[in-house]
Amino acid sequence: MKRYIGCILGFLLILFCTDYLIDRVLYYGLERYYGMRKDAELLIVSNSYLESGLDSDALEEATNLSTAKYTVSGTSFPTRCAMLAHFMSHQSNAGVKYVLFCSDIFMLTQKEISMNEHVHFYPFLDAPVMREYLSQFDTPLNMVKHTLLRSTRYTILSLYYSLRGYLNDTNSYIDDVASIELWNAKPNYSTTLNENNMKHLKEMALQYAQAGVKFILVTPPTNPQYLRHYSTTCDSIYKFYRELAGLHPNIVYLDYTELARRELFFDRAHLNNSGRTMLTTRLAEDLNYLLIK
Amino acid sequence: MLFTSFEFLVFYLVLYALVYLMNRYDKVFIRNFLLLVGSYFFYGNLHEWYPLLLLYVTVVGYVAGKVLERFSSHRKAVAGVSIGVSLCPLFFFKYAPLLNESIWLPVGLSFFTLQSLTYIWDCYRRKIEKSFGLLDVALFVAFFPTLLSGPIERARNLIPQLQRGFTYKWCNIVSGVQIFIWGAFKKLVIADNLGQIVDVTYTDLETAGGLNLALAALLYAIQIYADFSGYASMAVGIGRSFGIQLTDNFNFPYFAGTIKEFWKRWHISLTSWFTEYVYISMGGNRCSKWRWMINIYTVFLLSGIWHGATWAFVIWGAMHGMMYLLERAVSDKLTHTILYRVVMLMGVVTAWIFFRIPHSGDAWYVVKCIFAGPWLPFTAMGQLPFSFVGTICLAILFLILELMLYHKCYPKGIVWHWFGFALLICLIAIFAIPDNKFVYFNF
Repeated sequence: MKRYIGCILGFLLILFCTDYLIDRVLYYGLERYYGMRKDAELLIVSNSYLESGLDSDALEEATNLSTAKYTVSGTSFPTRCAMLAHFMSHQSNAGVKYVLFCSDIFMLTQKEISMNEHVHFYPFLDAPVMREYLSQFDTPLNMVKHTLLRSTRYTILSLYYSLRGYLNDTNSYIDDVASIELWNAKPNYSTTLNENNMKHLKEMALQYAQAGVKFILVTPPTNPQYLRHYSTTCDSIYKFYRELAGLHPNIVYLDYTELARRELFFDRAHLNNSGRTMLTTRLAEDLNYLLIK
Repeated sequence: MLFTSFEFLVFYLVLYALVYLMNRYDKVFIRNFLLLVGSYFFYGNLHEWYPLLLLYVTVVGYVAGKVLERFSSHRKAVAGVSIGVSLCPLFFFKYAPLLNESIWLPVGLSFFTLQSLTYIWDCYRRKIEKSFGLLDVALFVAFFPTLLSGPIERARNLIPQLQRGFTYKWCNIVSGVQIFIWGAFKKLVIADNLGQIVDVTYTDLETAGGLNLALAALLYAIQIYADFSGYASMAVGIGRSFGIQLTDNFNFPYFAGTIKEFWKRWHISLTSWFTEYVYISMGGNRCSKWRWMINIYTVFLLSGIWHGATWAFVIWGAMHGMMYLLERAVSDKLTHTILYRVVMLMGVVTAWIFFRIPHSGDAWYVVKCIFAGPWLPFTAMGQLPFSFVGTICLAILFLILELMLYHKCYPKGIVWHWFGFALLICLIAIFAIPDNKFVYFNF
């Protein structure tokens, strides 16, 4: 009997060691990919809009600010808040002076997070902020599974990001240009403003601003079809962002909505290679102006 | 309840503990009764009416066995009627969906029906001297590891094992767990990930060019092997953990040198079933050359029709029959060359296209595109590029692992062994796609 128990324990030891090793290797790559391993002064928090739309290396070079890009596709406002809190709680990120928070026109209209966006953050389950965030969306059984067997925290996507972290490749490069039909297609869903999101954004922005961090709301170039279709909602959103920027000198609003041209997009909403260069250049100029100020 | 679900793990552990206890105290009857209840629960979990089919097939088999044992005259008629009655639900559910789409084929019906027929047939041929009791027959038909997708066991192999006390040897448990993990890896990591690419490609045939369709055909060949052999490995692993030796359903079929060898290595339990109960019953090879050719062709056509009532399956069976017969015309020296292997594998992969695509017209279109174009630019087949590349890497890894296993060329020593399985578990954790059905549940 002792031999059998010894064998089982031996296997479990090998399993957990292998699992831990895999986790560490992948985690290190992810940390590099999201810029968590450097003493970032400028932090970009966004969904896919700035993931494809900003070149963090070029921005770093142009502003002389060590830049981290914590961007994940499909992330809604609550998730972006969790991302920001997670990054700021990370041990090596005490020196963040500028937070660039992607504030697209849909951010304040979402009622809840989309079905699977939280799965990207399982690798960070050990961080208390992320554990609290993830526990809202997953069953206790799954949480136990992810806690015990660390490999279950990863997906093929996180594997890819980790690999890119090792290769120092944090930007996306898509050369395609959106077709005219796609660009002009009318949106087919409705939106309403979410008061809770607005309240939360206001509190969060003020909290960082009062702590001495420059909280910069950035609206990326936006397809005019969206603006036309959601004109009433958009007006309220832009008004809210401007009012928010007036509340504290450390809260800034940068609006690049009007820069949108079809040639700069690879689909209806995301910037291509040319769009990325254009936005990065404009943003760098504006940031440098802010730095001087 | 799939083998890969958490519910199954709980079910298995509870049943295993109960069976172990009963076995330890030599309560074979109670142990088998528990296994039977567990098996019916396992099947009923898929649909509450499914166990009635099990019951029907069991009762027909049991009564036929008793009648065949008791009477020495009209045995052929009794066996024929019993087989016919046993096959009724299978024929109904297999072919009624053609007339009424609201009817569907219950999972596993084909498998446990064929399995129960082995009992009737063996009683008729007196390969089983004395018919078995109702509990034995019922457990033989319903034994949960083989219930949904085989292996199709012979009564003379499985029932005697079920009648004995199980010998719980440590090596059996360990090898059972290892085989199960390997099976889960094949299914969850390889088959399901490849399936995503194949499904997307075959959903939109018009936009996929010849290159993509060729790759999809190749990937489907790997997918169906990983899927079906994955299930078989899990079934064998579960059986082994109880101390029961189930038939190995696959033996590296893609490393076969000839079509004949391929069929000795692919779905072994079904091939041997057709060989024993159809081919040999028709006279096997102890007849004229023409008759033998007809026998071979009939077996392959029946095998195709068994999979489904569509022309595509008939063509699939016919293609394999043709390849089998053509091979006999080729000299032995030629059949063992690399060129022949490549041609043979191309034939097998092409036949899989008809197996995968339900409409034979679409399948012909795919074959035409692959061999005659248009060869549109290669795309990531509905996947993000990294996901596509990652999946291809997994397929290559799988082929390398298969090659290593085939040549028994892997690091020896217990630590390396366990490390390998720990790595497989981690890969399953990362790449598994939950809740995907097994391909062979459709048959």
